[in-house]
Amino acid sequence: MKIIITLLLAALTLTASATPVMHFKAQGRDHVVERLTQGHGSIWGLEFITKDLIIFTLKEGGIKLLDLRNGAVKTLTNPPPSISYGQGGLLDIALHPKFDKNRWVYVTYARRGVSNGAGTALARARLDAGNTGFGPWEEIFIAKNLGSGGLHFGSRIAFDKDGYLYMSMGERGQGELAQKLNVHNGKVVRLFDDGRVPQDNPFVGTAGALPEIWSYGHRNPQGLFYDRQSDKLYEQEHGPQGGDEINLVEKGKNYGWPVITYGEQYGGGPIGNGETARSGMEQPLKYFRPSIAPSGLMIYRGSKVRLFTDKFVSGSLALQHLNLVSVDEPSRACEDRLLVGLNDRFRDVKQGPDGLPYVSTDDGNIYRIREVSP
Amino acid sequence: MSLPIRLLALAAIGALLAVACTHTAPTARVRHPASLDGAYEACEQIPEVMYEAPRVNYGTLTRSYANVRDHVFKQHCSSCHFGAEAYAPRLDLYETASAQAGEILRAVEGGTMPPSAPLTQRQAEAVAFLRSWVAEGASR
Repeated sequence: MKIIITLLLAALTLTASATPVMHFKAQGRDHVVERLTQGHGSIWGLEFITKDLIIFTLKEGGIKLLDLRNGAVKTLTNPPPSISYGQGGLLDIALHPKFDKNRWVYVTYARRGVSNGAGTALARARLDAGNTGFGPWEEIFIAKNLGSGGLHFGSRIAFDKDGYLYMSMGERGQGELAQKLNVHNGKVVRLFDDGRVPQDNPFVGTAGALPEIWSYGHRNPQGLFYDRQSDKLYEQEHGPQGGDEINLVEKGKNYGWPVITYGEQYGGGPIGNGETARSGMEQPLKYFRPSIAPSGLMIYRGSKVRLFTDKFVSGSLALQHLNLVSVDEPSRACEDRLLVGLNDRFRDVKQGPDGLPYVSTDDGNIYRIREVSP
Repeated sequence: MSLPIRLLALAAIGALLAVACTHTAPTARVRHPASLDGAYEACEQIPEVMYEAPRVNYGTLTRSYANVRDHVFKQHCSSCHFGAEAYAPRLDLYETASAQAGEILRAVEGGTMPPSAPLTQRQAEAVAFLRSWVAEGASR
């Protein structure tokens, strides 16, 4: 009875548009999961432009705005020039660190190559003051990661404390290119906010290497998170069968794909020589076996949902759950899987200005998680 | 029990009646065949309980805008059609909802709305109630 009353008291405080869909108990505390919107396409990325307004991308194209005060959703005018191309489409969205002053919004998306195939691009535009739509889009980085297939575009965007922009992109199904420094397949790049290349990037001045590259040897990084508390950049990528990874990304380092991996060929059998470690290549902080097919990544540094505090929180697509891994002990064997009963593919995760975790899904839902016990 | 606590408890019971959530077991997950699925070690035991929206007994409701708003529009249309920045027609206002009641019904019956059509059983029941409200003049 106490639990029911607690949950109901929490329900009394819900915003008008929040619908409770699940509750779960962990560490002796009750939690409620609220659905804030539904019925959209695949919500690939989301950000808060104010404490009440969530801006989100749809993989099929288009950017929408959700008003948490009443649940209203509107489509913003002049969307980015994305194309739908296999796993590619309109992908991540991020705000400039000084968005409140300059209104710059950044997106990544699939873009057709000049002659054939498609790769990943980064563009920015200003959101108008009335939050109705965007000014002209400025493509500030067009990755040289073309491929004709529909696999592995990445991608995510993260800004660090100094305002540098990091973008991850996939190897487009061409694993060997992740080890080549003359292409952007399977790389994390580091740029100024207008697309220029910082001269202290690790491969500036290296013959045959692209100067934007910050790290390499990635497969399909759909998670990228800068942790302000630790001043570290983390990346999460889809591995092959049994080889998804969380990595600490550092300047100039090689994360090994496809030379080393804890995964294997789909259907079984080693990849390459079946190596899991080699000198000069980084080990993941955590690898997932079985694969969870991870997408958005964050470290939850809030205190309002204590189960999440100081944990990697990531969406799982194939195994359809929200995944929690300890930041302090990432290689610990255990992990937690939440929201299993919702039967949804969890695509992006964000900590809201209210300190609560928010999650978007491929079925067009946005959920929020609250702790409701005292 | 002090008065504030009693009032709080009454509010909670009222909310229980209003929300009337039912608990159901989570349904089975669909797993990707190539995920090398298997056991994993959980750090915590986290039992989940699903809410399911209450089934509305439309036969007991008066065919008023207030009931259509609360039991049809709010349940199935509010994410796009409620609020100052909503898509037209706004359904949280009697004036706009009643003025376009015929068009709303045609959009629903024609499969244009909601975008997730075809309708579920519960949505079909809601449409039947909407239809009867429109047929009786879409009154306040």
